[in-house]
Amino acid sequence: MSVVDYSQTAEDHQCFLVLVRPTGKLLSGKHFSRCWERIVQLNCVAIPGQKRVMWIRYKRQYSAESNEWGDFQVHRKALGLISVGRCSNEAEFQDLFESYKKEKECYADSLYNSRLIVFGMNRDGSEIQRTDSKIGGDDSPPPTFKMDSFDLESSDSDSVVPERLDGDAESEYRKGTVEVLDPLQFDQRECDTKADSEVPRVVKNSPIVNNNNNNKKDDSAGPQITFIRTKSEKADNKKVENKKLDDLKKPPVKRTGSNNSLRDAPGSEVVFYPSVDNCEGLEEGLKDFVTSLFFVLEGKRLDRGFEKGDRSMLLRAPFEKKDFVGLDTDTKSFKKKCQGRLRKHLADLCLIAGMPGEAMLHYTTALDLLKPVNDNLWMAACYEGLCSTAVITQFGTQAGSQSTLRRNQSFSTKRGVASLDKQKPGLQHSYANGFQDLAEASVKSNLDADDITEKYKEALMYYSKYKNAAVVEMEASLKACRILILLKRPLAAADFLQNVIYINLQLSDEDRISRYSTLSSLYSQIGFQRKASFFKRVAAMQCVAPQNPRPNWVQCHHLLVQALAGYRIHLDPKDSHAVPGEMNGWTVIQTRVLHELIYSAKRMGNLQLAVRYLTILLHTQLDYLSDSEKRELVTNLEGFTGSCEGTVNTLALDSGVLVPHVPLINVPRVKTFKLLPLATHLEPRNLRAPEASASDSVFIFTPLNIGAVEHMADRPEVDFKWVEGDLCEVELVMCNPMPDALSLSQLSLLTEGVAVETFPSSVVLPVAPSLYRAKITMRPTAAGELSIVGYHTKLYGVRSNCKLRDCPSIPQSLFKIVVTSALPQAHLSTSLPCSADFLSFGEGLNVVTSATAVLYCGQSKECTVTIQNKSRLPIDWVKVSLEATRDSKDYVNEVYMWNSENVQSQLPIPPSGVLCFTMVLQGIGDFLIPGVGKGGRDSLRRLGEPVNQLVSLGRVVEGVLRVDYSGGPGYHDNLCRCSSVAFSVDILPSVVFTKWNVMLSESSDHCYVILDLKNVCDHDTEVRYSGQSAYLKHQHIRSICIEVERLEPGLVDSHTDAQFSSLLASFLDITYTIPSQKVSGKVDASRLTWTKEQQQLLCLSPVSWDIHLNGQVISPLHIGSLEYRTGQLIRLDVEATIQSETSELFGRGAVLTVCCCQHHDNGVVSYNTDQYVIAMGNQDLHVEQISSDTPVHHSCTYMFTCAGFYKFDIQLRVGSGETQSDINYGNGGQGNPMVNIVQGHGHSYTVKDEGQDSKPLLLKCLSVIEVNIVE
Amino acid sequence: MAGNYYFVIVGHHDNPIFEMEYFPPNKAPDTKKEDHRHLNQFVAHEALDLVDEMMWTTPNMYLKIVDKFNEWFVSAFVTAGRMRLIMLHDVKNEDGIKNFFQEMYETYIKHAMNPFYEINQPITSTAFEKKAQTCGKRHLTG
Repeated sequence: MSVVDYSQTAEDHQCFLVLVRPTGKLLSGKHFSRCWERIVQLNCVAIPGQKRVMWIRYKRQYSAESNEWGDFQVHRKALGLISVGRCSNEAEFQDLFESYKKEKECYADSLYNSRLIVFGMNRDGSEIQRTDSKIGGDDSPPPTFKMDSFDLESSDSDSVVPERLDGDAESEYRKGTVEVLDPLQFDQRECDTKADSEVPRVVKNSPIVNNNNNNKKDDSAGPQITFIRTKSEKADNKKVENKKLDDLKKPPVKRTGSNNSLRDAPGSEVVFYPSVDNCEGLEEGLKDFVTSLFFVLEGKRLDRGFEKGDRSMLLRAPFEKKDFVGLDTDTKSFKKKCQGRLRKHLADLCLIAGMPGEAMLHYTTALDLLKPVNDNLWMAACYEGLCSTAVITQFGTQAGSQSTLRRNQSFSTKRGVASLDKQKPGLQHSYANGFQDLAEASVKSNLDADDITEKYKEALMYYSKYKNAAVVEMEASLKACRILILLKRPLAAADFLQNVIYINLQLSDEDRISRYSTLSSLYSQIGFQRKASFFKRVAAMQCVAPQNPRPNWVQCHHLLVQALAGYRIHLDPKDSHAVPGEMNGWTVIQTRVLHELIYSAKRMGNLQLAVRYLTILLHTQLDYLSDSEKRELVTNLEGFTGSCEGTVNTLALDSGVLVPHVPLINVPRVKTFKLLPLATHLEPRNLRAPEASASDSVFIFTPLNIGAVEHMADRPEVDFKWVEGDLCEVELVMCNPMPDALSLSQLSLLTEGVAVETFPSSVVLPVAPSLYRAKITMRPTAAGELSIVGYHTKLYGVRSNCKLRDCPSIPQSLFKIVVTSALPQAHLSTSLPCSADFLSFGEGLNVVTSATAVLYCGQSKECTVTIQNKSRLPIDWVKVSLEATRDSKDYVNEVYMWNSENVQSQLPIPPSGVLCFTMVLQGIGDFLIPGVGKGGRDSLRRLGEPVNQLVSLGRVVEGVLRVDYSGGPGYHDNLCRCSSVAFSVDILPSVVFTKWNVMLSESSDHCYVILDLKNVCDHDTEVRYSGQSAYLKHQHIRSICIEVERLEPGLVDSHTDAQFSSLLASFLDITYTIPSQKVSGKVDASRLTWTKEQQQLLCLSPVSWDIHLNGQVISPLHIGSLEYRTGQLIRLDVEATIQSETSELFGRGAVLTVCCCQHHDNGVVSYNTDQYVIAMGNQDLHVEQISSDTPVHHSCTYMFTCAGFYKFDIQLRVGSGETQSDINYGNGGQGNPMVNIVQGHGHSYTVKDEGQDSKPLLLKCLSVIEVNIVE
Repeated sequence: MAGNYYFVIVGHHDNPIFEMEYFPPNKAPDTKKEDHRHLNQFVAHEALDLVDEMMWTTPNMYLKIVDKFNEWFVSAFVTAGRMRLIMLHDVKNEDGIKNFFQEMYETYIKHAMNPFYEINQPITSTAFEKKAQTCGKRHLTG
């Protein structure tokens, strides 16, 4: 025997072996397998009238060689044969029948009974009429049953008559007569069956279904094999049946040449069914057939029982046959052997007949008989039998494969009551739910688990002595192992499995593969996954062994896939529980197995699969591969993907295993994944600042993040927005773990939520260990919340969808970003050249371009600012504003000027339209020399002067022109964009004022402004003023004198100094040109500061003075002194006329004071001249009321006693009579030859609420009245 | 006494952390060594199942021969920290292997005490290797 049944279990010892064979050429494999499926479900039949159950094991193939071992172990004997065939007409049937007979011949030695199932004919064996649909339908005539007569001649030993058959049947049986039942009777039977049982098919499949028959048999006198049904008909059925009988009195015309041939056939019964789908009675027929088997067996068993070894017949195992040739059969030991073997055979029969108790006894007896005669082989069989019996009694039967059937039993409780009683619950060892545990070992058995193990070991020991019994030994080992699995003794089970490997057996390759597979599955059943994988792999290798002429790569691959689990290789990376960075499993082995898998897939021709496996290998083993191995791998991969690109789809194997997409997350490794905000000038901003809701809250902002700190880092939300229709970028920092440069292509993003337009990019990662930055670009095409879940790459021809949640270095599993509705994009430009550098104004200003200009102080320039709409949306709203640095805030608006109305009038800007406006740049300056020019010659700087003076010596004025714009849908969503131009103007010095002063002119209406101008630029300058021009060379100073009309006298009071300065500047029109630079500009004098005295001087006086010295008129422009002698009388006549314009002075009292003083050269004015001057007459004149008609006239005579220069101070005090001491003489400018009119300082006036009238006014005569007294 | 030996320390994740082969001094390593080594590793790996099962059946760390495949016997030793020392050998040498295991166990413990060594990581120390070499010479091939 060379064929090993690897699926055998100990329970098989109690099973009838029934062969199911396809017969004839007309039956398709598909039909047969459907038929087979139906047949195998009937694996357990309760014997009618007996409290026993018979188990059936079906086989499709069974070698005659194996069958020969049937004497050794009865369960190896094919006891029944079911042939399945197909024919459609008589001739075909004849052929079929012939082959059936041949089939039977093969197993003739062992068969108890056989049956031929024919499809394609009517149930009565007639041909199916194509036209007549009724025939062959449900109403078609019932199947023909023909009782099988037992072939008495088939086997001598089998020629036993069942004892319990009753009268008629027995006699018929003995005669071997063929009883062909009257078809009419069958009709009745069919009706009967139909009436009785309208049960679903599944129920019929259960082992207890046959209670239908049961009941009937019970009704009838006893167990019957024949279907003579007349006695047991129920009364109410009778009428119907009789009716039918009448109907069918006439057999159908077409009927049954086949039956005629059947009649000729010796014994076998043929059953006809129209088709596989239409064979309701199949199970019933089978049951009957099986029951017939049982009774034959039962007969034999009983016969053996009575035999008592009279006939010394020696049962032999096939290989023993020649050993016993010529042996003396009369010895005692031979007789013992005969007896023992016979007893053992009897035990086998008992076991199959469902009497394990008796079997146990017989086995023990047999052992006792065989032991003394050292019949080792048969002793081993006895031990095995004992074990099987023990197992059967303890754990019931057949745990494994037929569990599906068992479940159905629950449906048939009603019908199965009788048979259920016969089956202990313990027998129903079912794994229907997968978890049902072992039934408690029943008390019946006297062998416990250890004994079973022991006995099996003994059996194996004896078996191993016979080389020819290797198959039996192997099967016994497997059986033992299966039992130990049930007993949960993995180590003992492993022992037996170990034994299997060492049984030396000449096996075919196929057998070897199935041996290893069986070993593997058994190992995995005891939880030895690594062992299981090892043997699966060995089996796989066996499939493609070099000596194998027909390597089966598909099978090899199939087996290898099953082996992966034990090596901790997971086709789905998600199944792997490996901690990243930690080794998981034996990497060398994993690599090897994966390589084998790849190779097998390649040889299978499934390149797609090979690519996937290579990807898995690369993904999982990357850390453990050397550089050269990596290179080799990549070369392989690229070789494969050259003809078959690696996809992202899940691959399904034929075996149903799914090989999911494995993203190459580690090649390259993404270190960071960052969403980039839009460029600042494209960032969407809120058009109107949101209402400050924070102020409403009682809570105060804190920068502390209490509690939530750790979650901040891996929040999926980002704090900026993207804009629909704009290019958005994600930055990946990657490192290349491979030894060579990586060229990634089709780098793009995996997004959800919002439709996007992707722009796959390609990058080449250098070998360096440094990190590489790559950017992925895309364009959202709708507004909403966009989720970025990963990225897509194509590397070595393999596409990967890398999810962020799989990337260990990225804490976020996705990124969420808000995409706002679309906004236009504008491009800003100016007509000025860009500056090389400009001061940073911070990031908020979004400077996109810059402009620079060089201006001389006082020069002005125009430039054009262009806003170009670059998008497809119109720009509906534009706001232009200027930002400046802190220190230039005060004057930046003077430097840059534009017309906003002009800007607004050009809106909206259509797509790709342009908005232009002019910007005026002015080189403003104070035209003063810093520090030096402070105050000029005569002017005094005062406190409170602006600190940040414009410096005329050159400076840079920077400003940022900020353009906020919006349009399209974004405008409705209250969003805008902001971009800016950085302006920088270099203001170069041109000319500066070094000194400035005011002089009276001849006319009292005019005065002269005298300005000293210095050329501080590097070029020669021409200055124009009042129609004149002056040429200034570099660094030259030139005085210019401009006659201006004097101002209204009130101006001094009503204007501040700065106002006064700018007012005066408006009268001074000074321009300059630098011919070499073709530059011209306006010199602005508004920054000149004027003292109060100068201001007064510039204003018209309310009083006109008419002064005579000794009758000589002193003009206001009089310069120089009049000469007089000492002792000479000098008469001073003063006439002060109040100008009519200053009417407010009229009616007020006034004091005219004349006083002589001496101006020393050091600038000190001495009023104490009493020692040298004798004044005759009153020096003060009090006027009651001033009026315009009467000028104030006063005269007074002086006589000088000492020579020297003297001056006269003349002043008119208007107002109430104040004392002289209030007049502040000290304020007179030193070296000032003029007599100034000084308004009294305010400290002497406490009340001002009475208005201008009460305000005292001090009016001085400005004429210089100087006398030179000579001896 | 002179046989071939393949020694491996297996970590908690079935990962080998140290491997070494011993040949009899007079016999040069096989030419088809590479193939051989793969087989050794496969055999050692499949034996882990039995080692894991056997270690609960005995209080001893030394499990003696736990498995065999073809000409190879597999002896095992499980440390207190469940590191598995596996030895493939084609001759029986129970005492030698036992002593070898014991000595290697001590060496391993010393190595594991190194604060820079992480448990379950491959051992790359040359000192350890040398020690294993001499140890093998003394107890196995010597």
